[in-house]
Amino acid sequence: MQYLTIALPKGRLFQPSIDLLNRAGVFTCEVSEDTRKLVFEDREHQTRVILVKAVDVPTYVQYGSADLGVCGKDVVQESCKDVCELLDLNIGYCRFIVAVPSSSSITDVGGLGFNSRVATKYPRVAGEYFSSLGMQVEIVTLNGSLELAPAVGLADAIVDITETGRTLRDNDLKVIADMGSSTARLIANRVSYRARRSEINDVTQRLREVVK
Amino acid sequence: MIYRRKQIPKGLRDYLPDELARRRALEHRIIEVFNRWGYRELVTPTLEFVDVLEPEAGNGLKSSMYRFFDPDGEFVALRPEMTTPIARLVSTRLRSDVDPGRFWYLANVFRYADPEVGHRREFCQAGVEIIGSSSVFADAESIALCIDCLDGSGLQGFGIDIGHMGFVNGLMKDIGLEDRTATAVKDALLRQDLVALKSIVDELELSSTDRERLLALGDLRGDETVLETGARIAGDSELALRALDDLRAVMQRLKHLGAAGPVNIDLGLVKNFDYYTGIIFQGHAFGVGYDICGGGRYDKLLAQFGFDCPSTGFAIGIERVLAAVEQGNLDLLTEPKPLSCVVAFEEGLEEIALLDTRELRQNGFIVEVELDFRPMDAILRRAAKLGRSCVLSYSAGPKCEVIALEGRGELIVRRLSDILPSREFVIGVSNMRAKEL
Repeated sequence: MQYLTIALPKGRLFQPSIDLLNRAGVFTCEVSEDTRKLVFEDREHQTRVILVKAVDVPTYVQYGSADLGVCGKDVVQESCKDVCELLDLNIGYCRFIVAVPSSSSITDVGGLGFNSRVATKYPRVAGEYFSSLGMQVEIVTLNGSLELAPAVGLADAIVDITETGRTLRDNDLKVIADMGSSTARLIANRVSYRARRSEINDVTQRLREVVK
Repeated sequence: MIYRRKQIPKGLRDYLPDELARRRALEHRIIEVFNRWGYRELVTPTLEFVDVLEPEAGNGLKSSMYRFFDPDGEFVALRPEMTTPIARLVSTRLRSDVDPGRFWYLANVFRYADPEVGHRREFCQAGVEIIGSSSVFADAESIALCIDCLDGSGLQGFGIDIGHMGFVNGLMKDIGLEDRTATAVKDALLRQDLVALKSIVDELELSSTDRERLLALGDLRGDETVLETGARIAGDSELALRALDDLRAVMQRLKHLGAAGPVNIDLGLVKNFDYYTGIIFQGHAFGVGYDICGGGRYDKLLAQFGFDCPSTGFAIGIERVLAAVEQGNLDLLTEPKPLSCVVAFEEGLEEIALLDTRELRQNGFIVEVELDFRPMDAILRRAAKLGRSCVLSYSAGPKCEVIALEGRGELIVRRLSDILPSREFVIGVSNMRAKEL
């Protein structure tokens, strides 16, 4: 039988997800984020791990290049890819928030005016959030250093994820709305989930047992 | 706009000859299976009134129809699927033909969706509708025919999951879920989002039994033993129990039809078309990350057109099956290739050359005629590129030179002489050059 391929995200979720796989006995070989190697195989457990950029995990899974993947709910939501969500892994907890400069007189999202600009790495999630409130704001898509946007007048507010809120405080931003939380999920390719159900169920079950 | 002159709209594509040859071969194989099962073809127009397509277009489809006003000011749409147009046609024109009516179609359909994996905005579906039978044997026939088509296309390692709308609906009704919650549960099952299913269930105030019953829907898939598990969680729901009876009967029938092999039962299966009412199914193939076919029973759809008539059917995505077949490196073009040739002649010899051309075509040869009197080198190169068997060169009076491109000169000459006994064929001197091509 073919190896079961699992796509893991580089970055903040890497270490906690590889720890989970280790403890669950799904993939126990050594994997390092620092080498140039991107594919790791565990002959004993017949699994292969591939390392990809976090935002690309749903893509690898949707196309079936990986049977399973680990990625944040924030990424799944933003990518809008057609994948199965099998398990909440309870790692990488963070919140989606709307923030404005601390000095601003705005205290809730309702205070954002009609022509407000909102900077975000999550244009889809942000757009859906504001339109669900019946608000029309201009979404500005950025790829990083969101904290800078209000400071230099690019945007009035930002939509971002935060774990502890420290980065926000360091950059003189305050939260005016909590849009919900996000944790890492185990996702599966739609066809793999049917064609290789018993193997995937086995992995899900092992992970479920080690997830707090 | 000039800069668009060389482009086509997003999500659409051109097909080139080599790929088309394989695709047509696949279509022919599938059509042959339809015909062998006694189905008859229907064609409906590409455009229909929005009023026809809309009433039952499922959640996903409504927003993905290409809709526009035609020059008469009528609100029309490109068909997003074929079942509704056929329901319209049968309820208006073929009411006497539903005892039952067995129909097939092969047609392009259009959906305005983001083009991504396996999704295009124009794609081809081959499918059937069995109209006028409420028997589960009609459902079984539809599934078995679908499997026969996939087998016939040479596809290996595919699987079919069958389920029943009545099971999920019956269970939810028995638990007493509100419509809104029921929709959310079905949506989570459709997306196979087990995390969402769990969080919906967590928010409801349910007994622990009902909780388990709902959560079980996420993974009730396997062979027939799943039906026993299903019976345990169905409780007293008549709807769910009847669904299990239907599935049992379908599985039995599939066994008799020799088609149970690739079939699994998935009691949590739901579909994104609102019109399904009973047995539903979908198929997947190893190596392609999306469904390749799907279908089910839709007993209320024809009533939308004033004709209350039970029906069932399915559609196969031609491009998707083609992708799956080719991923398995299967050759669709297994038919022996007929002999083919390019006829070239010098000016003055067109009469005999073209007379021969007609005779050869009538006898099954594929014949292309050289139009521009180009040098033999150019003609040979082109013939070789297109995989022709030979070039016939009329340059020396009544004798015709045969330049074989695949080294079967003697055989080709024999075949030609059989068809045209009065002509003298000789292996051409250019044969030497042909070998170097």
